[in-house]
Amino acid sequence: MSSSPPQQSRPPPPFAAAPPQNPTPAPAFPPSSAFSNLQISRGPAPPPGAPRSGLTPQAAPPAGFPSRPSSGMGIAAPPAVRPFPGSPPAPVPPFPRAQAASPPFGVPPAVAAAPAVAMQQPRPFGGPPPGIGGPPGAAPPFGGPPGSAAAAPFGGAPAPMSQPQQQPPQFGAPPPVAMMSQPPPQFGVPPGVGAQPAAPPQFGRPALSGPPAAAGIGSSQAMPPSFGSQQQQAPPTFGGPAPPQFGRPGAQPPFGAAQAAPMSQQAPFMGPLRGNAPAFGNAPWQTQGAGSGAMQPPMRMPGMPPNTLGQGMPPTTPTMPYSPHAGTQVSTPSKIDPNQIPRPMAETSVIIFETRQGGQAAIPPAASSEFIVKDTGNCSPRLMRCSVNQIPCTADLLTTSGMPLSLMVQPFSLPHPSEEPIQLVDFGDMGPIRCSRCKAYINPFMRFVDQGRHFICNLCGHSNDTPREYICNLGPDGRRRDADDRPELCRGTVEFVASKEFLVRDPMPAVYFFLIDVSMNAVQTGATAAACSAISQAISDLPEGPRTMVGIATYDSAIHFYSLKRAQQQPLMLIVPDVQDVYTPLQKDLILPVSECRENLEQLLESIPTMFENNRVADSAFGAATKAGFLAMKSTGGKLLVFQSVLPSLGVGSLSAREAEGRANISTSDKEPHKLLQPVDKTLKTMALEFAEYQVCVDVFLTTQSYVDIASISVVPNTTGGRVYYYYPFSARSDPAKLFNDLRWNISRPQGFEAVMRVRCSQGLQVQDYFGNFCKRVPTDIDLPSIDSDKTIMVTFKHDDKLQENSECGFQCALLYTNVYGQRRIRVMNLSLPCTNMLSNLFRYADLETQFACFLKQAGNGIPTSTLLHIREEVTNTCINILQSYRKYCASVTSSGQLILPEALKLLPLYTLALIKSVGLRNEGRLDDRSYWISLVSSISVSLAVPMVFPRLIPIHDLTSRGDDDSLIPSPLMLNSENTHEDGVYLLENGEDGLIYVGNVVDPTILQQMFGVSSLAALPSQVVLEQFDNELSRKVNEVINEIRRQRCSYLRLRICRRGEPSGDIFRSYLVEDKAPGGPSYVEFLVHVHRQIQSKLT
Amino acid sequence: MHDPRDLIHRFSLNTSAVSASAASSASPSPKCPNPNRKTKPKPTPTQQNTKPRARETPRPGTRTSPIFPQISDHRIASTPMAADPSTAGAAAPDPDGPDAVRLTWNAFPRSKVEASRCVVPLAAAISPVRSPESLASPPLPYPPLRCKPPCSALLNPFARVDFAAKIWICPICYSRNHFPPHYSAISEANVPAELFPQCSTIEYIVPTGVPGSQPAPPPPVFLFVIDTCVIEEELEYVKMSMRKAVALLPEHALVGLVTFGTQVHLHELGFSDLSKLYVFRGTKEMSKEQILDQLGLAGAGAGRPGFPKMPQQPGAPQINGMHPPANAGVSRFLLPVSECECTLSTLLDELQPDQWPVETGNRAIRCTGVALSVAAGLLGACMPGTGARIIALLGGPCTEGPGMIVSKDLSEPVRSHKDLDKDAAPHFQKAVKFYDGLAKQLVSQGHVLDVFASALDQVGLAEMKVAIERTGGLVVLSESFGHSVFKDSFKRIFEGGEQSLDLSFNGTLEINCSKDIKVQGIIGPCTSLEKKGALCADTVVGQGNTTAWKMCGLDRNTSLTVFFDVSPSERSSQPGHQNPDLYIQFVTSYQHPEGQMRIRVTTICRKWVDGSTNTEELVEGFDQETAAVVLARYISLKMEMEEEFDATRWLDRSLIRLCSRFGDYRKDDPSSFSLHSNFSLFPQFMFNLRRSQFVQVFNNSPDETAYFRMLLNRESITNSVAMIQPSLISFSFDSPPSPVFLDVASIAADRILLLDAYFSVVIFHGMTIAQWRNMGYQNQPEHQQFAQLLQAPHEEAQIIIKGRFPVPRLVVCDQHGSQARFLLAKLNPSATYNSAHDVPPGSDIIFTDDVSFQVFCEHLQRLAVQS
Repeated sequence: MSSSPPQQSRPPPPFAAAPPQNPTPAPAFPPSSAFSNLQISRGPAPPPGAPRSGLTPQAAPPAGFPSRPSSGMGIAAPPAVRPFPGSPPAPVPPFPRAQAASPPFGVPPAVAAAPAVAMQQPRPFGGPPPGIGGPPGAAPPFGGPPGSAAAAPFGGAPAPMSQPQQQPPQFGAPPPVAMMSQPPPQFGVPPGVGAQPAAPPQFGRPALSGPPAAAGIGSSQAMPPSFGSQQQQAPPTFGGPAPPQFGRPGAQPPFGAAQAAPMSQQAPFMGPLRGNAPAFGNAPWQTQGAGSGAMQPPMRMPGMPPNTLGQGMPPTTPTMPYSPHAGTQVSTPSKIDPNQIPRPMAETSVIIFETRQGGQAAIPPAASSEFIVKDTGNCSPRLMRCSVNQIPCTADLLTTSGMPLSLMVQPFSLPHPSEEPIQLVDFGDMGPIRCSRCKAYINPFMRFVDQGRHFICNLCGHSNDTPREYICNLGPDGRRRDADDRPELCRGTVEFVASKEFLVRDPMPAVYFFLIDVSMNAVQTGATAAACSAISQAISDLPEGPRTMVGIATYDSAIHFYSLKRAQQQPLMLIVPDVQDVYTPLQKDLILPVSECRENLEQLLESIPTMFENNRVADSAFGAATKAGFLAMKSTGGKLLVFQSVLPSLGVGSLSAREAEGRANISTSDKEPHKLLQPVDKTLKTMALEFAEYQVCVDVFLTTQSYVDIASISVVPNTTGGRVYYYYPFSARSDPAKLFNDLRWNISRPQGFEAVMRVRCSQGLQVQDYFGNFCKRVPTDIDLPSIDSDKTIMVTFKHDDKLQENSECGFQCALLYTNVYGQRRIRVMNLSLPCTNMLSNLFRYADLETQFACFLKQAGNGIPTSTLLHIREEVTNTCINILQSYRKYCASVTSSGQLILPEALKLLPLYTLALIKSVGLRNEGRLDDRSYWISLVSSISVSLAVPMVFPRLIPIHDLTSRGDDDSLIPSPLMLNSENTHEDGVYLLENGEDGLIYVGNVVDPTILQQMFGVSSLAALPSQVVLEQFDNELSRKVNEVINEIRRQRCSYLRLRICRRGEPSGDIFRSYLVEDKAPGGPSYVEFLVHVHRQIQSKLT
Repeated sequence: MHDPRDLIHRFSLNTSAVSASAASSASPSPKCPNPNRKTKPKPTPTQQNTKPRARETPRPGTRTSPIFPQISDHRIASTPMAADPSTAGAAAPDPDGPDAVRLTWNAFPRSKVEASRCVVPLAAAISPVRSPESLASPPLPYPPLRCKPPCSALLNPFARVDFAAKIWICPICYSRNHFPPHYSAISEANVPAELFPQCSTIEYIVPTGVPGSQPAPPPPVFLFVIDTCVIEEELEYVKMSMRKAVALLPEHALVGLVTFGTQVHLHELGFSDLSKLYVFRGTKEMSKEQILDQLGLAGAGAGRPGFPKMPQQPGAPQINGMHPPANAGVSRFLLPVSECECTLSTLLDELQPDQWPVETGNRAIRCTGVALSVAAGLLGACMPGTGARIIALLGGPCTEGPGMIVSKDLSEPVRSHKDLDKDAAPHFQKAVKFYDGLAKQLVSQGHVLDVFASALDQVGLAEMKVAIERTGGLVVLSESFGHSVFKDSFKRIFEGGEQSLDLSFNGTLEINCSKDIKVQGIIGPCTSLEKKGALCADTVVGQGNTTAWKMCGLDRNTSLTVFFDVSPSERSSQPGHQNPDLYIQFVTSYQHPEGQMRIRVTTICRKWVDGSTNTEELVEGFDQETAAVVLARYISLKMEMEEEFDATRWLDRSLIRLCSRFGDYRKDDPSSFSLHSNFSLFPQFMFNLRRSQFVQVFNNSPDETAYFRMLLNRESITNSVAMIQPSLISFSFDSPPSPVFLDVASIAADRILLLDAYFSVVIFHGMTIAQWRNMGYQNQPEHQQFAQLLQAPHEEAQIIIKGRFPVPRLVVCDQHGSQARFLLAKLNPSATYNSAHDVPPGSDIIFTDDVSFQVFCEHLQRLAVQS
């Protein structure tokens, strides 16, 4: 994204420098100064858009590794390293293990690190370098290219190196070892500080160097431009030359960068990391070992890596050096410049991401960025991404890092339109080839041996006989000659046609059963009419074909089924009055092919609101109705869509207004108020389990104006693979549109039925648990009555053994499901990631968004069973522990007065703060809001996890003044009140809600154009955003529609005004502000820093 | 029905009981009269205003009716009489008399011992609301006067009145009561109708509410419960009948509809947008409260339509706010015909056989029990205390839920009498218990359960009997909904005017009687109200331990049998204090078909017979027809209640004891035996009773037996006699239609026989007649007489059929045809294959080992005279 005007305006100074070209110099310094304590090991701006850049860094890291070997670790890799220096191509070798290669680089990186360190905390760097050192090593190669350009900038950096220099050597060695506790000592000597740290430092510096540049960007102002240019240019450049080298680095680099960055990064922070990062990367490399440089390049890595780092690097590099230093040096808390602290950067360019390059896993771009995946062996990161892109070899290492090891699996995630579709493979009656021991499906990582007569499972290591029909000769490279022709052997994701053994019965038809609340409140608030209208309109979006069936029922204190057979003179309404013990009133005719009953159904939907117009039944038997609907569709399974409007007060699974009880309890403090966030009893859970068993998925649309006990209700959708939709307070004016859009998306999005999913992984790891909306009956599999493109399942792993460092760890997720056309399929997604023994690599290759999603889910999961205070503490501690681990083992060289953040995770504190202040974790708020939040979180995807707590704030009053060349959506503003002016109109969106903040002194013309009202007073709080005939209105609609498209969600728009509760809601999302519920961002950083310091001492 | 051969076999076995010790006696008793000697007067259309009863085929026993005239004449003579207002001459002679009360003994022995020596119990068969037209006075528009409690008897012609003192003395308790002020004008010359001697039965119209503001009488309510677990064809028949019924219903009658199969569907007729129905599962037994809750009628049970509603309890939970708590349920589920005719006809058009699948090897799943519960619950909520009928059309056995009589597995047969005897009917007791509960509920609500069962298999009438009988419901058993037995019977209940059954509701019967008489109980369609009192006897027969009974449904045919016991107190047994007369008063209050509440009171006076020697008076007072019917009812009850009860032996012993006691003979000389004419037919009744379906149950299903017994218990004496001993009329060229012996010897080739066995009417063509007919002579102008002869029995049969409910099955058959068994089974086997050589040509024989009536009588004489 181009920087938003405001940003530029402020940051200008620092950025200004950065943006130009060498953000580094200018930004670097300023930042550093600005940040008293903050250091961010700066890859690119990892968090937001940075990830990519992160990748680039990877490239560097590899190099770094090599260096180590040389240093002493003497890893085989070293040789590889050499190749690097030699030439870009070399990189490939390095990949095997950056470490090996690192030696040469190692040195340089060290240098690089040194500079950074030099700047402020040489030692710290020294420490970090080791880890980073490795990477830096890699960097050198890069360095080469970047060097040219970068060199200069780094020069600055190098200076710091001086200290680093000592370390460098060490680094080389340490890095590898560094991870281990021992290595440090070695390093320790040189760096003086923790040997290990030394290594990181290197990175740090490089990173820093990079960072500076990045920092520039980070600051948003200067950076953007630079980034823009860098990225744009860089990518291309990289694409060309670098690829090979980076390729690998790329994957790791990001991390490396991240790590390295931290060191130097403080500077980076200042500037937008990304843009600079790459630049730095180069620079460092050249001068020092490129280690640092490597770091930065990573930013782009994803797309770029392939390209010559050098090319891309050069330009950027220069800037890098500066920034890093500057960044790193924050030393006095009081001096923290709010403009310099890490913030996400928007990124606008589209990245082409090859999932594997040169035989190694590439580091995926940030989930929130736009990228096009080329499946070259690993599955798309959209489908599956890991919290760390290198797998720790031991449980200890993982524990030390404080990071989670988990996969986010989103099997039906929407592909980018430019991506190739997933290939379908039909093995006929034979069924897909599988490992005979662990039943893993054939994948590109299975190794064929013995002239192809046997193959070795990449997950369990078992040697299997190749079925005769499937034998194929191997080529000289050890691959099957037909590997490239067979999707299952060259693609990370394929779909197999399920053979008979996967069918327990005929694949089920697509069945949709609608249940509508027609109790008094529902009718009177217009919820019933809205539901009917939504269904009526959505019918045409149901999957085509004779196998699509629909049914409908309404309910209040009884359940009303309808038989819609066309032959009858009029529809038949069958009432099941026994809501304690429900049953289905007909064996058939309740659910009919949509083609047979469309007219009748539409007619019925039209008449339902009037039919119940005078209904005086206040009770609503949600549980019973759901059960009855289930019974009606029990024989097939399918989707049950329930439109509920009031607290279910009757029949099986009825609930009570616990809210009142809750309020009382909260006021008296104790009494475990969180109990109210647990289901009231097991009734609904038991029901849900039964639903799931018969493949019925329940989605609940809560169109309510009162408490409905979502905590209890959500159990049903959560267990059956559905979700809760919540419209509170329901407005008959503005919500029907959203209801319709939600419903339409619900039934038309990519989805599968009667699914079973299992994740397998290499020996040494085992699946610990699954989180998400599903039903689990056996420990290994999860049952998903329905799975759709919005649902994500988190899979956590634990070690049960050590992994080999030089090996790769494989993950395979197999999803057996029936598509909407009644075909049974097995979607198999494979991910193979390198294993590492180095802590610094873990940090370098950490995936912030995935990790954050993981924390988010864990927090959501914990809320009902613990106090909020405790959860918040836990969340904060998780953050602190990670940073402290980094600080202790990877950046210990730095002075304790500095807060050093790993580049990849530099935004962790910000997100953590946002999480603490989120609806789910803050003290105030309604029970239902919190429960809803919890239920959303359980299945939220990685790309939506961050926005959910850290929303996007964009000004929309000045859309017309933007050039047409800019991206559709303006760059987001930082989430603090300084960015919202009373003469502006802002949209704040979190993927779920859209809050339109209208300032008190907005130009009436804008109001008129945007909302069609002449004054603020005339503006209703529930808004239906119409498109008026003027440019502003058109642009606003464009923006909102674009956001809707991005989020796959029809935002629930609300008008917020200062001085009203709505204004407070808006304000509560400005997470950087100090609020009753939590500290300001700066304060939080200080807090984190103090905690780390106290832990270290 | 059944093969006569079975009958024969069984009968031959049973005979041994009688003949065990008997020596053979050559000739039949000369005293055994021809049972059919009286020619039935053929009613002409103009006479038909006398209502069905008048058209009943007179039976030999009718001869006993003089007893009544005698007594009433006596009373009339002894009482000063004003001019008869309307009566007697106009009404056709009623075989049961104007009071419609027939006693087994018209003179009561004074002591318990004597009473027991009478063998036949002291009992009265009463028809509480029989033939209002025959009453001596039109209904009185004021409330009756009652004696002071605890007697509470109503003022009646037998009361002694002191016109001067304006005092009347209750004949039953001898209390003196002052006339209330509005009777002040009373004098010898100005006597209120209730004191007229011929007004021993009189009716009052009870004003309800404030005079002058009489609310409109409640409309009749019909809730149909239709079984849909039947084949399409049967359902079409049902629809046809239903359409006819709806067309016949008065416009203001309220109608509701429940259909059921695997589940119960209660149709909400008041919902116009679409066909709306409530579905209840068949497996779950629900309490009335649950049903009401689920229908949203929980608040509605309190009030009665037309009356101000009880204010809703503030704290009472309002389960279903959609419907105002008042009687909105009425307008949702029960609508005037005029408003829901369209809806109903649409519903009927779209009614389909039950959709739930029937697995092979299984019966359809049918939840009759729940359906009836739901219907009862609905009426309880909407119409408590108002006359309403549940009319159930059943097409098969209940196989699920409460009231289940057999599992759905076809390999399990429906229980038979044998199973019941051996306690091998696993569902029986449970089902009976369920229906017993249902009966209690219906009785408390004052509602009636009618069952029309049309199936080849059993539907569970045996279990439902309790609910039908306790509520006074109608019952019809047929083979198919297409059969005329169902179609015509079903139509009958909706017909008004001439054909009307005068269906009344909510009857309460109270009995007052002289103090030495105790009431043991009642057999018949009623329920004890458990109003205990001094009048209750120690031993109980049927619905006892009370002096008041509820009859939710009653009609002009309804008959009850009241059993009395004599238990003189010491004081009353002292000579001198004895009053020669005894009085029994039956007070029936009921909801007239037109809606008003009426009270009918019948007071009868009979003589006490003193001492053991005076058998003459007893004999004179014996009513053998009533005695036969009472015994039949009594024995049916005993067979149901007592395990291992040997009915045949019990009957034989009773008959022998009776003959010993009242016969005229020399000891040990069978040939000297003779019986008074009042007893002359009794042995023949017993002979036929022994062979009847009431005693020989094993050839029938429990359902049939229950059906027969229910009708036996509720029909008039005359009709009941026909069930026991059918009448046989011969049509031939030689003579006018005339009754003939119920004997195989009555069959002749050139005769047409008409058998009226109550449940079936058989027209039997002799061989020759059949041949002629087959050759088509009746179509030839020159043989018009033959055509008339052929036509005559059909006309006669139609007359019988028209006047009867349920409509009997008409069987037309030829001699030697397979259907002829319907006739042969009822005939006295005087000629069997054993005696075939004696048979004149053209007549017939019966293949049986059963003893003939002649043999039976011989044995009887011999045993009766034994010392």
